[in-house]
Amino acid sequence: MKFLILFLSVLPLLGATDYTTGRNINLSGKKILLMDQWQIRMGDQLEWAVNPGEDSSWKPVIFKWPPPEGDQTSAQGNFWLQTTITLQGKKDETYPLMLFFIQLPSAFEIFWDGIPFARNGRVGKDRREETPGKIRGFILLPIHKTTSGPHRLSIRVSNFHIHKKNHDFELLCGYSSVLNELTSQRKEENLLYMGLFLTAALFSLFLFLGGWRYFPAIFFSAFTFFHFFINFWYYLLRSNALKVSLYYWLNPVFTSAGTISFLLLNIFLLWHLEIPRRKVFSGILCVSSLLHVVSPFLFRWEFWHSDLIVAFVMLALIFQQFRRKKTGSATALLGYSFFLFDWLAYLLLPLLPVLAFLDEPFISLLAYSIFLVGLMGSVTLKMREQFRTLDALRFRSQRLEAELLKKYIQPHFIMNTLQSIKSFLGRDSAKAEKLIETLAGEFRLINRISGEMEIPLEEELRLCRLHLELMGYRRDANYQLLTDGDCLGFSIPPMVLHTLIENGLTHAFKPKENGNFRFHCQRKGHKTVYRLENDGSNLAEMLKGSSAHIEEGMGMKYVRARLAEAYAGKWRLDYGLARGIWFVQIEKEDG
Amino acid sequence: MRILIVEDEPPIADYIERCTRSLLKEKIRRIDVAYTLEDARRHLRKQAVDLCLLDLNLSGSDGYDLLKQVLALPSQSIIISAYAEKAITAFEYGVIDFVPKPFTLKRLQKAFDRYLGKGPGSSQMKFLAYRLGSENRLLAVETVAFFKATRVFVEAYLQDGRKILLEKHLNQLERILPEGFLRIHRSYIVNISHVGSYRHCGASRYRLQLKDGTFLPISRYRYPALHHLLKK
Repeated sequence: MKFLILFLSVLPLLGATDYTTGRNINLSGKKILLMDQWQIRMGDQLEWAVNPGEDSSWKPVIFKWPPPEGDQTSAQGNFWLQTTITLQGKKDETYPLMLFFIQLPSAFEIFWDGIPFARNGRVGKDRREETPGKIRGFILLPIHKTTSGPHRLSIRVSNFHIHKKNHDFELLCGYSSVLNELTSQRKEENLLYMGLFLTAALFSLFLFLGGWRYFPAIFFSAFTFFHFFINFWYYLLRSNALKVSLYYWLNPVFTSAGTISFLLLNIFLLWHLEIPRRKVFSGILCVSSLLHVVSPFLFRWEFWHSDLIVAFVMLALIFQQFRRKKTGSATALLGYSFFLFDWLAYLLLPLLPVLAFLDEPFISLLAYSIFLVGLMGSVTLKMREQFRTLDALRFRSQRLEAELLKKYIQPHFIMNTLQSIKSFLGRDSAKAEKLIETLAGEFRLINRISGEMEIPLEEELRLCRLHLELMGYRRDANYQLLTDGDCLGFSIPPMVLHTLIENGLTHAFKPKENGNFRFHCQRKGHKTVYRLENDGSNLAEMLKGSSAHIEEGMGMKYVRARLAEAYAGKWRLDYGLARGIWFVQIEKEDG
Repeated sequence: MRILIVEDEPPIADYIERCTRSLLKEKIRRIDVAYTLEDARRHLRKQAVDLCLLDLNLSGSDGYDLLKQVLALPSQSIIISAYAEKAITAFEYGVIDFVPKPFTLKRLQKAFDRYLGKGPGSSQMKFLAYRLGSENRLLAVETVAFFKATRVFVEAYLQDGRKILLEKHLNQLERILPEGFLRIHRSYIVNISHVGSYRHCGASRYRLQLKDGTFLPISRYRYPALHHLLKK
């Protein structure tokens, strides 16, 4: 993977300008010479700069990937490299000739025709004596010595701080104008990408934090943050400011960051597009990414091919959701396709001569822009859908509220209560009077609170007690509401407990049957738990020994709509029979 | 009269009982009260009931199922409910009357008068309840060609040729059937829309022929009403 990244970062450099390999450079052109043919000699004798000795003591070595078996350029210790460059044609005097190195061993000194003219770090005989140099850099060739004809380039190397297998290096030779232009161009691209990804990261982070808590957005935000840091890393690298030792410490981290960011992107898409079996896919992706990260260290082989397979599988899954007309899938498919296109552009562009006139960085930037806009558009569409759902929910809640109010204020309730009052008149006028007072009290309270999103719990409990008193008169029974726990400071959507109590009275108690409701409120970590129990015999008898379940009526729908409106996805409603007691439990998370 | 009051609010049930006793007085043989549908069903299985005073919404349960059961029996039913919007459906089921809550003594008296045949009958009935095994079913009245009294109950002859036994008496049916049904004989009620022709057969004998060719006898003293109706 490391080589791939290096290759991809150097390739445009080579692709944009003519370059040659071998040992000759034509000074009349603007070609860059990629020096890959060298001779190596183990050991360290300063006189080898002037007098390299017999040819037989130098062995030929070609820098290529993968390094051949027994490669000595990455070995720990001291060695010398030498090659011959032949400068041909007329030299351009405006710009000096330069060497550009990437990932040469820890420290080195360079000799041009036996004369030392540059060094990177300090060459030493052991790790203590050696001072590592920079990972990348330019070296000016001595102007007065770069005349036409063959020249011997020798490099004295000490390699104690990095002696890892498979490290690879490049040494390029060309005019400073060409080399500078190409490297600075890549740096500017990194800056541009940093801005692009940071904007996307902050956008999706604010979407998440902005009160909506759309959790896939946090994965997308993390993905874009990772890409921001990866570009920052390459920006530092291309600024030629990184020391060899620091590079080898941090490079695996940033290489792994690429894998992790890809994992985050795919997990985001799995959950965002609600792809079936997303948990299984997420698990597989995690394992695959883990293998990807650890395989070079543990197995000495790289798992990078898995990324490509995963990318195509993901594309197929997104396409499947697109066919199912899942919200946001069309823009996600567009974005992901361009993400893949950018990835494979190096392979695809030669096959598409029509696009040959386009600059590679331009294609890359265009592809990444479409990718990010596509995915952010997809998130926005999903949010719009959720807003619509919320609106519908609010509307439903309002309708239910109106229906519920109608239920209590409409003729049924009033007529039955009036009939009860009439039944008491003449026989028990005091009871009739009490019933009228309770009815008026309950209506006054309902009218005051029903339009609120949440009301203090004490107020809701007062309403429940009034209702129990009224129903007690009507059903010739005595109902009590007992409370456990400290309910001060808690709040609840209006008429939720009232509706649950009314449900309990309707279904759980037989006429004339006295009963108790027990209400318990408790803080459990970041949750508030409300539990309402009743000891009515009817419901328990109905359910005893059968698998019957209670069909949810309008009251329960009202409760759910109220909770959904007030606590948006952070609530839970359970009910059932526990030890012969009917309970309804509401859990709401903080925040 | 054996009366069953089905009402889930005890003070109201008590009030209905007091009102009923004061209105029907010695006509009452017994009054029972059921607070739940289950109690009412249990009672109906054990005891014969002439009149059921039923609230349609008991403890959240729909009383129509019980209503079907009551109406499939040789019982009549008066609904006393606050759900006035259910009156039309109740009449379609063939109840004697629908008394909306809160009711007055006068309104209850009117309902009892209807039951006793003193007041005008309901003309909105659309269904007749009948029992098939343990199941209570509904029969669309308009599909009946004629009703015939048997020794105990009534047989409904449908236009498609089927015959259904109803646990009702012809007199009860006559009170609740809608317009378009006419009693033509002490043992027959006919669906006028299904009549083909009728004629005098001499010697004070009259006969009616249905569209499917079935002949039915017409009582001499009921003939003028039929003649008048069909001429109109």
